[in-house]
Amino acid sequence: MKKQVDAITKQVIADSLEAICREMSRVVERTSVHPLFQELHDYSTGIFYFDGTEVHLVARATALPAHIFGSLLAVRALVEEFAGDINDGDMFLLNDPYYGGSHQADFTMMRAVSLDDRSMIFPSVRAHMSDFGGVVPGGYNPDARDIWQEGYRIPPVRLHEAGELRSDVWNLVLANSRLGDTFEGDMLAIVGGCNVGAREVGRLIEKYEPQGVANGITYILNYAAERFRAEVSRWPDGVYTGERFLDHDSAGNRDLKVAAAVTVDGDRLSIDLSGSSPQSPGYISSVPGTTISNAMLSVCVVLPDDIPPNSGALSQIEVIAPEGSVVNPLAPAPVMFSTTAIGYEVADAVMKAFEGIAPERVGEPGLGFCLCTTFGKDARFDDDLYFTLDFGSSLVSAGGAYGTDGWGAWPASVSALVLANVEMQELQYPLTFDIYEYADNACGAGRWRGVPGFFMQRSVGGQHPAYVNLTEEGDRHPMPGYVGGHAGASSYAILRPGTDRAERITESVAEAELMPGESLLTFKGGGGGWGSPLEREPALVRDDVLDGYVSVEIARDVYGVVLIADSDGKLEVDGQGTEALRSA
Amino acid sequence: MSEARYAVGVDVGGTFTDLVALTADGRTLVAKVPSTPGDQSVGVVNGLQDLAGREKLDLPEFLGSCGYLVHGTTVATNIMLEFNGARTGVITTKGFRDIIDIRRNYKETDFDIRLPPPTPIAPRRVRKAVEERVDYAGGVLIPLNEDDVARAVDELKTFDIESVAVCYLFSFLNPSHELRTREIILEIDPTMHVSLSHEVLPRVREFERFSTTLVDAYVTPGLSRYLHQLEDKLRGLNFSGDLFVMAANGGMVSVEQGSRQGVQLVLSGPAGGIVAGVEVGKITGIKDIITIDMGGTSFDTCLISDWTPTVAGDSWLSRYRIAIPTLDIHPIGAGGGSIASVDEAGRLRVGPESAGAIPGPACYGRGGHLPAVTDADVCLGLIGTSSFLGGAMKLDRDAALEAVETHVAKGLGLDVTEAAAGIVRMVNNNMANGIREVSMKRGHDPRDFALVAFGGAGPVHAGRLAEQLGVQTVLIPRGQASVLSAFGDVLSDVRISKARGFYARSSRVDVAELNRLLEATVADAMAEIEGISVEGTRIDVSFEMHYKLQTHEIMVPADAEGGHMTEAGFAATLDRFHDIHERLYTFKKPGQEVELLGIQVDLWGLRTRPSISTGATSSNEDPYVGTRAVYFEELGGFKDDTPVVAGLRLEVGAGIHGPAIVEEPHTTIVVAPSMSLSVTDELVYTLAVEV
Repeated sequence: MKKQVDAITKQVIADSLEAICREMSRVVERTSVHPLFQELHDYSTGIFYFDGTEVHLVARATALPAHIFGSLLAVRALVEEFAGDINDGDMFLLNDPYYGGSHQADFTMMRAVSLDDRSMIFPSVRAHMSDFGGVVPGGYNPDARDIWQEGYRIPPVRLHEAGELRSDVWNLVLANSRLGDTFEGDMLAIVGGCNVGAREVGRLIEKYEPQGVANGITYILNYAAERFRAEVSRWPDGVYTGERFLDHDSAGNRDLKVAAAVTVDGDRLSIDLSGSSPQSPGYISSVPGTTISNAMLSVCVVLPDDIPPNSGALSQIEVIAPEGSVVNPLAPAPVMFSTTAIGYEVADAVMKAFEGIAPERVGEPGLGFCLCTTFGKDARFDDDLYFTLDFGSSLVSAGGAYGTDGWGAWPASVSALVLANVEMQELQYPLTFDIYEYADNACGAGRWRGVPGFFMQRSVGGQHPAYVNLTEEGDRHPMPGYVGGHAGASSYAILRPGTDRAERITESVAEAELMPGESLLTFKGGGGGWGSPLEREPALVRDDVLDGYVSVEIARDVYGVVLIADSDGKLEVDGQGTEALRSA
Repeated sequence: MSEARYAVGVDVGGTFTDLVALTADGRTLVAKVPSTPGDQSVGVVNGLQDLAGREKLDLPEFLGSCGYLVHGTTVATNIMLEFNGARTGVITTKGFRDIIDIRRNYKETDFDIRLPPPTPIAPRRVRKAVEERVDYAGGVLIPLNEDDVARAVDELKTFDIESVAVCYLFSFLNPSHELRTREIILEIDPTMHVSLSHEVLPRVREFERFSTTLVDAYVTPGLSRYLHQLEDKLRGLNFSGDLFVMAANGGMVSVEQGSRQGVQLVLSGPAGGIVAGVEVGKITGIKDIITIDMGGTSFDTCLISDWTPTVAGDSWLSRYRIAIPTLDIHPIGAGGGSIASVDEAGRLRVGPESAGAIPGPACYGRGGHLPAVTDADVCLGLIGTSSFLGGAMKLDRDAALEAVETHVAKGLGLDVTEAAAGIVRMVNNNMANGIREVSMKRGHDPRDFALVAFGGAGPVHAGRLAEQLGVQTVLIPRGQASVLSAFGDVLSDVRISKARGFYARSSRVDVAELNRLLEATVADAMAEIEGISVEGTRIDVSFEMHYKLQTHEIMVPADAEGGHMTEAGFAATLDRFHDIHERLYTFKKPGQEVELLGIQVDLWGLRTRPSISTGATSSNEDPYVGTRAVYFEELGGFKDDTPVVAGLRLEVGAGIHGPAIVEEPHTTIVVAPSMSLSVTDELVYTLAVEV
């Protein structure tokens, strides 16, 4: 009985670790400088536990899932590299994709908190840095053919020793960014997040003793494992396959494939990505941290929401990613773009396989990312160099799901990213937005349709040209539909629309020059649908026609819904006509 | 009007309408009548009738001698909860018609792709785009196309739209297009309600501004009808004093202001309680407090520093963003109604499901069978069965025990007491974590604060929360706990908040230009307070600032005496920004450029406070009314003879050592073994907690 009463204490400790992650996130969000953190929340916080043998993800805060699952490998790399030489108060940093990282833009900061002589806890923050000293500002270099053409690599290094900053290391890192003050502010923010995490974990240890905290951690890991196995055992045994293609790799190779075979065997789950394309010379191959994160992402979407996404559950999943492929490249393949493309293609391929396992839970987990970065000088502010990563070019991807249309911008699984406002962007950068809205007649059709496609048009203000890096995806392989739903529309961009220098882009362009007054137009095809459009409630199709998301013709040809104007000129569903058309 | 002998606060809650009248001769009258959700004014008038009866007056006599009446109403909030507002359309800048739906990608879940969108207030068919564009500096890039506006109005009318939100980019820097649009709309249809984004929230960030304006357009017509009907009704009953309504910023506004901009009243529900919480702090001289308001269906907390409740602009309601400055009240869990359950893997959960008021916890005997936190409290003897709601409602302890036994104890392999104690520990831990997160977010350590606990269940849990947070002092309002919000309403001051957008970097601020804007803003605010009888005014100016490229602003109190800024004052304000930044976020960078994004003027119309008393009579009656068995973890189980004390029979200065239970008709204070409770003042208890 005593032991059972302790179960409550263990739960209280586990809840508190979650709360600490949220506190860390607050600190990072509020202290960071660059909009990537501040408004976009392109960072994640988590708490990891090293039991002396293995590293476990224990708790995480609302965050980009791709980050924090991957951080597991970062902490693992750290304990391997510094085995036996990690002390309370030490802080470590890494960004090397081939050493526990994902792409060099993602810095992982980890602070060691000793639990006892064997085990440690690592509050950790992984964050996308605005400029980390790559070849091009921001680091996205579609011309990179090896990793050094993307930026320098930081294997695990000790940044603080027993709480004391090693300023030589700090200065080395800082000296490599173009955005000195901004970068330093962001570094301070992620250090601050880890420090607050360490302080609060320390408080917990003081209150519950090291053994109590370790028990709490073990409890929550075991709990998640048990819930996970119970869920998987309800799924039908078998091997299920899915695949998804990436348009291109920015190096002339097209239709790169991710193949997923998901095996359900009793309460065990494995994901085999063998059959995926060989690694590519372009910057899209995904290291294991990224690949596993994205495979896990789809599993987490399919699982019930209340299973904690910690190592207890995730370590139950075996992921096979063959070496030398797009999902596990050999160094020094470039990787900068891979966190999203091919990362989200991994998630999509796995999700496709789940159509056969849990159809009512599948739907788009990813982004269909189209890269758009811009840099230049701002004459309003002493010709300051500015750099933006603009999400307008990939703004929508939410697909239909059982019971709901795709809505908003991206799916819940990417909703930690909060979009910058148009007004803030215009105040801070010399750019003027002309269009920033959904497109008409561009939804992936389905019983529940995808979010509509999206237009962004933006012109260069001020007196200086702007330089745009674009990598478009989703022209040949738009966002997929699920369970019979249709795919979204194809994406593209047009440089300088309406001028004689207009140029349509469906793949990559580096440092395209836009003169003041010239603009960039991007179209992002929306999310795919779920289920057959012929099963969509006709009244919903009528609503979509009123809203401009579906035309009368699409209603008829794709949805099999006949709309007629009544005596007042208002559109109504022709019930008989619809039935006849749908049963034809 | 005959002599003003009464000041009245009326607060409408979900179940009861509470009234407090302060009399000119220093007495306090209290009434509590059932709320009338169909038309809240019926309950209000019933309550006033009740008060009049206590003074042996008829209603017109009583109302004729009321100097002023302050009304806390949930009408605006309820419109947003029930989605029964005006048929609302949007007119917006061409090219930007879906800002409301794109929603900056906010979703309320981490992984659940099946979460549906928010209930649409204005679907795309009633969002009309017009040609116009203002740039980042307020310059006109594209003039307003008036034909587009007229066409938009005609189209909206085919959808029977009765209220329009006009939302243009950068209108807060140049409102001319929005103003002209309103003229055109009203020319076409003078009955249309129009909300302009630059009037509702003159601040940068279109999503926040548009969403707030949409909510305003949606709630204002219904709210305005209600307020005017109530005013007419009261005037017809001989009321000739000032009628105020509580706003979400913690001050009160006139009926006219409230009816013009209804969004100010959305989320105003807890405001009265917070004002009363500040009063409790003032009585005891404690300036930094965290209020915890734990009722049957809610647990709200608000951080108050230096007797000033934190005001923030980051509220949501019914999944709509409301970015006007509101009291920074954080809901954490569902209070006493949170339901406990055990899942298939043996994990205890408390919430997020709530038993609500109906059916309520099992112990209410209204058909609820699932164990709520209140049931656990009853199982442990923390809440008595015969004293709830002043004895008006008997609680069924057997039902509570059975619910906990069936749904929690069995699944955990515990006995019912251990299970109930587990539920209470877990909910206390969650609430403490929530409070700590709120304080951290605002750059404070909760240990530097006192708790002020109210709501029926607040003082039951407050001591344990304080222990967990490392807080040494808990203040508990005495005597008026059941009508605390109404009590706060009547103590409120007038507060007119006016914001203006103003973008500049600190090295290039033109102080003269800033002063012109300040003067105009102060004049606007002054115009609104005219005709309202106040004893004095105070002007607070604050600036929204952040380091260059940061995107979260800090509201910095500005050195602008009477609304006028000097060069030295600006420099001092800038220094203050750096200091506050350091306190909030651990670092400052004095050399770095700071961006100014907006100004805010708060004009306070200060009212003289009537003197107040609890009406508690320190009689000669023995305060010890009996004993009951109460569970205390540190004693290893129930203490059968825990003394039960009638709080209102204690004299000022009296002290009680734990373990003890102190009861008032509407609340219970749990004094654990290591704690002690004293009556600090006629109006306040102090619970001392060892940490």
